[in-house]
Amino acid sequence: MPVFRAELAVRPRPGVKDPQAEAVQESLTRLGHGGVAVHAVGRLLSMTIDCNTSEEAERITAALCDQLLVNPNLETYSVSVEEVV
Amino acid sequence: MSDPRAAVIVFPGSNGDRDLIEALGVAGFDAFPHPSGLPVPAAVALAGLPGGFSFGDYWRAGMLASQEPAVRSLGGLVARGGLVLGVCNGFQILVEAGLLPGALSYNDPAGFRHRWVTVRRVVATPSPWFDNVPEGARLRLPIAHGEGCYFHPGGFAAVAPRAPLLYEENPNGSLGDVAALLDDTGRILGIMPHPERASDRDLGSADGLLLLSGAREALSGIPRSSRGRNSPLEAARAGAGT
Repeated sequence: MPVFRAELAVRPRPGVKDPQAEAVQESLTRLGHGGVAVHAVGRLLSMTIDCNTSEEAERITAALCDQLLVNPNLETYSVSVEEVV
Repeated sequence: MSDPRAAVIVFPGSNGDRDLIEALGVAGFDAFPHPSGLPVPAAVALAGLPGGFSFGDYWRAGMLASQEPAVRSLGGLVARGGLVLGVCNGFQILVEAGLLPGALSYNDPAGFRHRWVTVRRVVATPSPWFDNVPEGARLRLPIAHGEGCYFHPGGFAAVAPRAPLLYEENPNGSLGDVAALLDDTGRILGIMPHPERASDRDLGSADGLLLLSGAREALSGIPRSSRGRNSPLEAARAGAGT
């Protein structure tokens, strides 16, 4: 069976407060990186999935997000899938 | 009549379980630790989810714990007439499990806060947890959390009827100053301050016992009319000592 690598990125929903981003921004600014603007701090989950197609891998990832990994009140996500060769 | 049994669910990373067992004991429960990997026993009248950092709070606070068999059995406990209390991390777990609405996220401004706070009892869903706390009463309770900022996409109006306690001075950016939340039945209570750490006047406050005693009396079938001023708890609170 083919294997797909999926990279899931979860981030705060636009408009939701992101105190982590604000805290990181403050540190970077203090280090002298005045031109850097931190837009979001989130989480990354890297995984492999045994399934037949990339569409199926995306469906499985969406199910994981719905069931557990993403709180839709606060968070949104994006996923990239590619076959492992 | 024997004391009602209270299971305090111990997750990997819990650290408030012994405090909660102790306080429930003071309030008249037969309280004992229960491993999160097993469903809560049917003979239990109350389940407590303690503070701490269950499963290291990995990914999102309370998320991993919310899938534990003990948590998944709580709906059955409530259906049998039991009560559920989630304190701090326990509140986060109840929200993640979908037993309470909304979400709890990082404090705003960011940072861990630990101090005494005052919360005000306001009109909300009737609940045995608040039978001994009249509307307008102010309770002194300690907080210790980094992710206590309550959020609901529908705004405060969407949860106001379920919010029995509001912070006098908001320590974490919580929507509408929400410090605690009830489910529709009033039987499930999530609370960010720690009532179990306010169960001894010599340690700063015994106000938390008022919540636990309300639960105890409701589960024992003691009518509200026969409770109140003359109880040892009220006396303790009034400064008469115990």
